[in-house]
Amino acid sequence: MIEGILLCVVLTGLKIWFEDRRILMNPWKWGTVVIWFVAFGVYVPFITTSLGENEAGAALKGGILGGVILLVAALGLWFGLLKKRQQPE
Amino acid sequence: MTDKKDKMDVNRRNFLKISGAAGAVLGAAGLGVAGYRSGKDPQSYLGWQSAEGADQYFDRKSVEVDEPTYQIVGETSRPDIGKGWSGRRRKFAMQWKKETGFEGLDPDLQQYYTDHPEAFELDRSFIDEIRPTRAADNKIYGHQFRIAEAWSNAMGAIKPPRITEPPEIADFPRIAGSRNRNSGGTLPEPAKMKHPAKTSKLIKKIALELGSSFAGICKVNPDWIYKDLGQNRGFTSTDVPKHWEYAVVIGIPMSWDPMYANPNYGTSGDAYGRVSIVAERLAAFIKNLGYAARPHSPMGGYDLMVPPFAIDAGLGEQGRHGVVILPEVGCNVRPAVITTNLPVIPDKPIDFGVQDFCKTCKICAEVCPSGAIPFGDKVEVRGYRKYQLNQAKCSNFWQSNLGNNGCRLCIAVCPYTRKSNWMHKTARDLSIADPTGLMDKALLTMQKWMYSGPESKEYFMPSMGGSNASYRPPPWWLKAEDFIEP
Repeated sequence: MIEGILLCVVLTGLKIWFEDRRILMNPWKWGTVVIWFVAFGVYVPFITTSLGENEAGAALKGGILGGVILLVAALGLWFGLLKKRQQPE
Repeated sequence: MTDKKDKMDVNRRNFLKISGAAGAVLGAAGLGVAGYRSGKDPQSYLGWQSAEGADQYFDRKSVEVDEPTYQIVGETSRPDIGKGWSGRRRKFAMQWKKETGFEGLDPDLQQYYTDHPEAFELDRSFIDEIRPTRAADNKIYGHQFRIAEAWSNAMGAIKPPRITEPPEIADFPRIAGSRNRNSGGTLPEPAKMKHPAKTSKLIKKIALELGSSFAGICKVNPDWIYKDLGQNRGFTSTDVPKHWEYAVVIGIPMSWDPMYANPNYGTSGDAYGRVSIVAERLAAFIKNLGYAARPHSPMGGYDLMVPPFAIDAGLGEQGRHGVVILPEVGCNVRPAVITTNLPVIPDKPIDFGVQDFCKTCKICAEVCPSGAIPFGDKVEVRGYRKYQLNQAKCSNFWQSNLGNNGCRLCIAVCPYTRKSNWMHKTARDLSIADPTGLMDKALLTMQKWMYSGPESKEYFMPSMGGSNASYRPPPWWLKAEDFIEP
C-alpha cells in the first residue's frame, strides 16, 4: 500500500515537474514513462533478491546490464520528451 | 473561451472525484482480499507449511496432458538391475584381482567387457585407482567436510526395516491384539471408501500431513518394475504382484544451500532419509485402512525405477540429466513410491516445456565433470526414447569426490532448480507462457552468463587434477574449519 502511495506521489510530482519545464505530455508519453518506472521497479529488487539468495555474481552482472539499459532508455525518453515542449501563450 | 475552460475544469474535477472514490473502493476491496488471503496463507501454518500445500503450489491443471512427455518407439521391456551398471560393478568388485586379471572374471563378465571395453576400463580404474586415491586425499583434505559428513550420516540414521517377506504377505495389513497394528494377526476388513476421487484427494493430503512436499498418483506401469527384482526384498517370483495397481508418488527437496554447495558439501541423505520415513508412514496409513501397500524408498529399498512413476503421476518431466524436473523446485527433489490396491484415480501427466528446453540448454552436460550426460539427442532404451546417461562414468566421479558421497552438480546447475522467489517464479511462468521459445533463449543466455560456476575439472579431488571446488560456497554451518580444530 505504501509503495502504491509513493508511486502516486512520484507520478504527481513528475507531472508538476514536466509542467514547470513546459514539456507537453500525452497518454503515449505517460505510458512510456510508466513502463520505464515499472522496469526500474523490477531492476532494483532483482539486484537485492540476487544478493539475498547469495548470488552476488548474478546481482553484479544483472545490475550492470540492467543499469546500462535503463540509463540508455532514460536518456532516449528525456531527449524525446524535450523535443516537444509546450509553446508559451 | 472562459466558459469552455470552466467546463473543462469542472469535468476534470469530476473525473478526479470519481477516480478518487473508485480508488478508495478498490483499495478497501484490495485490503479485504489481502486480509482473507493472509488468514488462509499456507505459510502461516508455521512448521506445517508443506502439509497445507505451500510446497506443491503450482497449478498443474494448466499444463496437464493426456500422455506423458516420454515416447514409446519400440517394443518395451522391464529393466534388469542385475545386468545394469550397479549389478555389474558389484560382481566385478567381488571378482577382480590384479594377479588373475581379466581371465579371473566369470564368463558373463568377460563377454560383457569384450563387447564394452570402455566399461571394463571404467570399472577397473575405479577399483585400482580411484578408490585408493580418494582414501589418500581424504586423509589430507577431508577435514573441511567433517561436519557435512556428520550431517549427512545423521539424516540417514533412521532406516526403515528391510522387507524380507514376499509382497503377498508383507504388503498386506495385519492387526494383532497388541499396540503394533502392522504385524501378525488377522487381516482387517478394508474400509469402504466412498469414491476413488475423494480417496485420491485424501491420500495426497495425508502424504503431505505425513511430511511429504509433493504427492501424485498414477497407475503402475510394469515397464518400470525391475525384471529380476534385484534388491530381493522377499520376492519368490519375478511377476509384478497383482495388487500393485496404483502408485502414490511422494517427493521431498534436498536442503537448498548445501545442495548448491555440491558436489562435496551437499548430500542426497537429507531428502533420502526424510522421504523414506514418509514412505513408511504412508504405507502404514494405507494398511490401517485395510489395503495393501509397499514402500519403495532410498533407505528402505526399491523394486522399481522411481523417476518414471513421478512423470506418470504428473509431478514433473524428465530432464536431459535423467532427473525429474518439477515446476516448483526443478530437479531438487528426491522421490519415493508406495504401490497399493487402494482405489484411487490417477493424476494426469504434465508438459511445461522441459523437453524443448533441454534440447538446447545442455548446461548439465557442459558442467558434468565425468562427461556422463549426453550432448546428443535421445536414444531408444528398452523401447522408450530418452537421454541415456553413462552411469559408470557418473559413478566413477561421484564416488571419487571428497566430502559426502555423490555429485548432484547436474541438479544444482539446472536452470529449473532455483529457489522459490518472485524472480525465478516469473522466469518459469514466462517460459511456460511463451510458445515461440524466445523467452527460453533469453533466459538461457542470462542463466549461463549470470549463474556460472567453476570449470568442470576443478570439481575433482587434487590428486585427479582438481581443487575440491563446489558450485557455490557452503553455508556457514557446514564449514568445519570454523568449528573443529584441524
